Amino acid sequence: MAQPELSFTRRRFLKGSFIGVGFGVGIVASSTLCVRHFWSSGSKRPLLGLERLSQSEARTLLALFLTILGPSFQGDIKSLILFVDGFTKNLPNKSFWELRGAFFLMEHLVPLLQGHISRFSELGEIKQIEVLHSLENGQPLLRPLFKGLKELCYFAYYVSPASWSAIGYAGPQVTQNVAPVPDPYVRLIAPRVS
Amino acid sequence: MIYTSDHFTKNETLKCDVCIVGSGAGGAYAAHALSSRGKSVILVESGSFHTLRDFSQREEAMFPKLFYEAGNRRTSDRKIRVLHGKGVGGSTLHNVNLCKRIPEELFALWNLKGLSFAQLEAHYQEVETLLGVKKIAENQVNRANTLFRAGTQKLGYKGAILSHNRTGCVGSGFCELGCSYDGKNNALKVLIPKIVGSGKGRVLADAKVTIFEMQGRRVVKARVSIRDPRLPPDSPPKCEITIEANAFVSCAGGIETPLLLQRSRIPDPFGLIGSKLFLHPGTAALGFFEEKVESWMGVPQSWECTEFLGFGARDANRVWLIGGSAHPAGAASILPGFGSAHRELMHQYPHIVPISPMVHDQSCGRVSQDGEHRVKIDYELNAKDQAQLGLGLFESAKILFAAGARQVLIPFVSPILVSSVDELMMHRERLNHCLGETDIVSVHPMGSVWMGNSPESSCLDVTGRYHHLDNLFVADMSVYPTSIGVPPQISTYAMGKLVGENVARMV
Ligand SMILES: Cc1cc2nc3c(=O)[nH]c(=O)nc-3n(C[C@H](O)[C@H](O)[C@H](O)COP(=O)(O)OP(=O)(O)OC[C@H]3O[C@@H](n4cnc5c(N)ncnc54)[C@H](O)[C@@H]3O)c2cc1C
Ligand code: SF4
Repeated sequence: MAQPELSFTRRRFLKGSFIGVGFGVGIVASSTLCVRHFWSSGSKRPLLGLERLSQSEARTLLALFLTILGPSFQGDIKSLILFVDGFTKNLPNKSFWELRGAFFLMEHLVPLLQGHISRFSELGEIKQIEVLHSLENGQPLLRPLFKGLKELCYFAYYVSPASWSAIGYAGPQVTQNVAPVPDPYVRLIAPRVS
Repeated sequence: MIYTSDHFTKNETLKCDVCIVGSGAGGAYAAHALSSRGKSVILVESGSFHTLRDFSQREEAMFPKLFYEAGNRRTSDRKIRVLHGKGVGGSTLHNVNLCKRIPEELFALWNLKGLSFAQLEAHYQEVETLLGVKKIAENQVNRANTLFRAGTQKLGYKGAILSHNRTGCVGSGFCELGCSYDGKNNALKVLIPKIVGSGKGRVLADAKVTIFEMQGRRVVKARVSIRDPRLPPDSPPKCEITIEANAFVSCAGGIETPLLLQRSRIPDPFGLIGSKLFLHPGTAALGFFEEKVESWMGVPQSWECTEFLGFGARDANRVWLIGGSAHPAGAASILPGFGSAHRELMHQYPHIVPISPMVHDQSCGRVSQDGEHRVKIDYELNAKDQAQLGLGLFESAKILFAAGARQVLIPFVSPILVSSVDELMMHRERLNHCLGETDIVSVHPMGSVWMGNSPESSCLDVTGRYHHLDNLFVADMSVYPTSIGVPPQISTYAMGKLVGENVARMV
């Protein structure tokens, strides 16, 4: 009886870790709004404006952001969650379901495997860190799950201009939607006949 | 002219002499070779057509536009990331422009009857002239590559300044996100305008060839689905175009070409298509310097170290060392750990110099389709290749220390952070087991539909024709019989030329 369950789980683990460097829809980053106090990691408050992720998934993501970005993070978590929610719109359905699978495993199964009865988002900060550490360093089968979720969080964070000054990165050198030199390519597009 | 999804509203049939699938190095050159010889060509590209203003220098915007699966395609065990580009211009839109020929020594090992190295050299010469390939000028060698060079020379290792195809490059350092300054002499800049200007070439963007249809020993049609790139990937195609042609050339790249041939169920009596895939995988050692290096600024990858790169049967080592650079999200994904430890490393971002060892791999994988949007890449990096990467990591670290790095980080899951070569020696054996321990990336998947002398042991003859069909050709980085151990763009342009000229003689 247990065997099919195990193989299903393994497959979902491996596939569920397909996330990471992801799709972008525009992120409006604001460093002024700090929602850390507004949504504590255990909060059941509804998350506004989500189009694809469920509230439970958003809670997992919130907990992941807070743990992975670390205690000194002071930015706008709401916009990071909305960024992730937005980019899932560009994922093929299959990949989106795999991402959901990854959140599910992280929220429910991984803590259980490490002897915690609570969901990941409801563990205290220290336990969340411990869980992630053992996921990162433990069972090779589970490492891709950690790696994928970590990449997702850092991707959302480091594509945001709000993160750049702290790391000495000046950002793009061009103005959005403006070619810095004459564009020889536009004229190659065939005229459209109505 | 160039047609995008906006131009197509209903199913229709188009006719031409030659239909070419994929507009990267191989496809664009084949299309140029054919259209300049008066053959009518339709060049079909599943990615979009981008003009200069589209290259926004933002990772979150450009990865989905320029890379399959937004740059997150991986081997089945998820241990190796496999990057493959899309868009009119293919992977030449985002590549780093360095040009390195296949060494004669390696070519000789392939023993291809009917294709001599002298013939290939003649193709190289013409291609390099057209693409303006030249050595990077001293004043364009950025600080990171200057340090890499200093370290290499201090150790007395073999190295050289590389040749690139760039004109008008302002050294912004954003090459891997596409060039807003039109500084790359790539397929988009050099070849597409010639194809369109010949009056013989049409380019279809947002157009994916789903299958070839056959009659007897000939391909007669390509079915093309047109998708609106603004809609989610699972949206139904807008319409279907059928292309009828006398010959078909697949230039969809080392991953997509075998998939297209498999989907089309073309005859493959020996089960060879996609059965041999080389990844030329690479990883990175990171040096921390006192000074601000800002390795993401300036022309990337202008210096190479070839001390450990051999191609002959008697060469002990097969690893090439090349500088690396990454924009913030890319850098964050390589660095180990999370929380405060990761944040501290990111604060060192301007001080980091990466060197990337890439192995001329003997490991060999397999590529097949997994559902409509995904690909299955089975590839196990064998112990010998891992040991070569281990050697590469060790030697990269030595070079970084010789160049003045105060510390070197090998970004393993359990990171190796050392302050001297002696200290690194204590971890030497661990470096030989990097698979699953650190980010391994393939930017040169190749060899999956290869040339050879017999239909039993290869897919293509030396003209690029598929052995079992009369009018199907391949001209992309699939065609190499082994890994080529160096970046493949210039060789693939040359293959596009060679195959394009062969097809022109036939139709
Ligand atoms: C990050 C990065 C950096 C690189 N830097 C260098 C470098 O500095 N030097 C170097 O020599 N090489 C470099 N390369 C590799 C180089 O770009 C490739 O070797 C070269 O472009 C291969 O040419 P190709 O014709 O085989 O394929 P590509 O250039 O990849 O073109 C294939 C095209 O086919 C299209 N296609 C695929 N399937 C279909 C389909 N079914 N229907 C229609 N179209 C389809 C794709 O969208 C793509 O545009 C780099 C690669 C990467 C990823
Ligand atoms: S470094 Fe040169 S080629 Fe690369 S993006 Fe900048 S201007 Fe373009």
